[in-house]
Amino acid sequence: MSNTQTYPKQYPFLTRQEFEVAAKSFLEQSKNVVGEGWIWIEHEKLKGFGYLSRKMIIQKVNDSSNEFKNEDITPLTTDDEQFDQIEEVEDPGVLNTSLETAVEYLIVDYHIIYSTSYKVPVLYFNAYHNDGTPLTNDEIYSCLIQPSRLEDIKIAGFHGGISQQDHPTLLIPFYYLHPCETATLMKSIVDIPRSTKSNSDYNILQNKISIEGYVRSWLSLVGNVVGLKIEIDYFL
Amino acid sequence: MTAPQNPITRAIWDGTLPIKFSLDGTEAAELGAKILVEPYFIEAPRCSYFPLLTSQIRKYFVDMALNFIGDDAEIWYDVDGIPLKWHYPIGLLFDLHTGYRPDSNSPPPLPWPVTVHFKNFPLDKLIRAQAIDATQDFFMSMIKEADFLRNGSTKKVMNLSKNDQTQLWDGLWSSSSQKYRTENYDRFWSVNYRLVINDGQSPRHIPLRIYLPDNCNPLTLGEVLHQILPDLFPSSLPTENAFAAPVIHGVIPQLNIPIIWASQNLCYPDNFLHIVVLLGT
Repeated sequence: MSNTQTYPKQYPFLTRQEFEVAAKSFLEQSKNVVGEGWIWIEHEKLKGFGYLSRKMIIQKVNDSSNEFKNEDITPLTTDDEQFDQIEEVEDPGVLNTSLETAVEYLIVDYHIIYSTSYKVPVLYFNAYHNDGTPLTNDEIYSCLIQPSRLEDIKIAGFHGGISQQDHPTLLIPFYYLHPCETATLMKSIVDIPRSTKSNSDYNILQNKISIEGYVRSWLSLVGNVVGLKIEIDYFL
Repeated sequence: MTAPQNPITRAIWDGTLPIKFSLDGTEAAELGAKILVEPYFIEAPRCSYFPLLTSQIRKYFVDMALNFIGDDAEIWYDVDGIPLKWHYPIGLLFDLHTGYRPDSNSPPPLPWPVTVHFKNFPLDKLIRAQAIDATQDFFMSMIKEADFLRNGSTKKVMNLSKNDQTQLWDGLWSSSSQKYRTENYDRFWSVNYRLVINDGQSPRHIPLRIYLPDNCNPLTLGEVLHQILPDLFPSSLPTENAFAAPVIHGVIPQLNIPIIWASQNLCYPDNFLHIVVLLGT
């Protein structure tokens, strides 16, 4: 990405206009990555309330031998033709029984929406079984969240870092990752100079991540929690 | 610590709505009701939430007729077939759904008729687990968001002691009890006062939400001109644009006409709305 870079006026916060630039830059970047299916959706009636959307199919692995967590996941990149395994789940408390259990898939709708209050992008999602029934709250935790992140999620916020609320544009229930720590997180990654110097989004003088690189950096931090991995290709 | 005596916040705290809860007839029969069950009436605080009333509503209908052993979280409410968003305050839902204009001459539609459902929770329309825990969770995230808007961080709320957080919620939760109204007001407001007064600092932003009617036509001619030509039309309101005027068919139209209406009625035969902007007088 050698395009010109601009910087948020109040990093780590974005204005709504900056978010739209950030989201559309990310959309352009996603076109160079195999299998990414992001699209930009405008609000039906009002201008300037668009958001990014993507549907994914994620593999869920049943593990009935484990009563403590009876389901476990192996996330996949999931455009229709290419299923690459991203990562083996490594959790000492979970037995590896994936060979003997039937493979099930989840359909997940991911939306990246601007929060007017918190002035950062927020990751919304809804997940369904392959027959279209939505996952229950418990299933969200057992089928979608990476086991290694479960504890982090559960202690975050008042009652967990994930809850439901009305989708700001569609006004129907969606799950979302609480955005109240997002700005702190985005700030913390530029305050560690050594490890981020090689990152092309990072500007040492400005101590900021560019608007164009904001969404991929942010998503690489938060997406993984709910099965959305950002390919390394986004940063090449 | 007691809450400061403020007649306005006290009057709002004491505001109630008489609500008439009726069973959904089909569901009642499916759940074994052999008789027609009389509706249940509650005078509910405007500032409370439906899930906080659920246990007493459930008790009434189960005692009367229903064979229901499910969870409180399966119970939901609707008005005219529209599921009620239980995470909104009751008073807000009334204003939103009745569309009653307080300045009209007709009396308000009271008691407010609400239908209770014990089955078929609409997962695609309502946030699930309508329960006291979920309501508290939602309430606290709203409080946090408001704090973030005022201060740019959620520190004030996060730094509340466990005891203060409990007081805040318990005061609200118990507000439907008529008996201890003053005590509950004091419990809630002694904590909430510190949040809304913001330690005397003026807030960066004011937490507010606007609810538009479904059928509203958001764009007027004035808004369109203002969006496209902000220098010439610094506001979408007619009075502040005196130096620039749009002319269509030799007439200066009102700026508050919907742009859709203008397009359908004022266009030339070529289907275009041709607008000439004139400056000065």
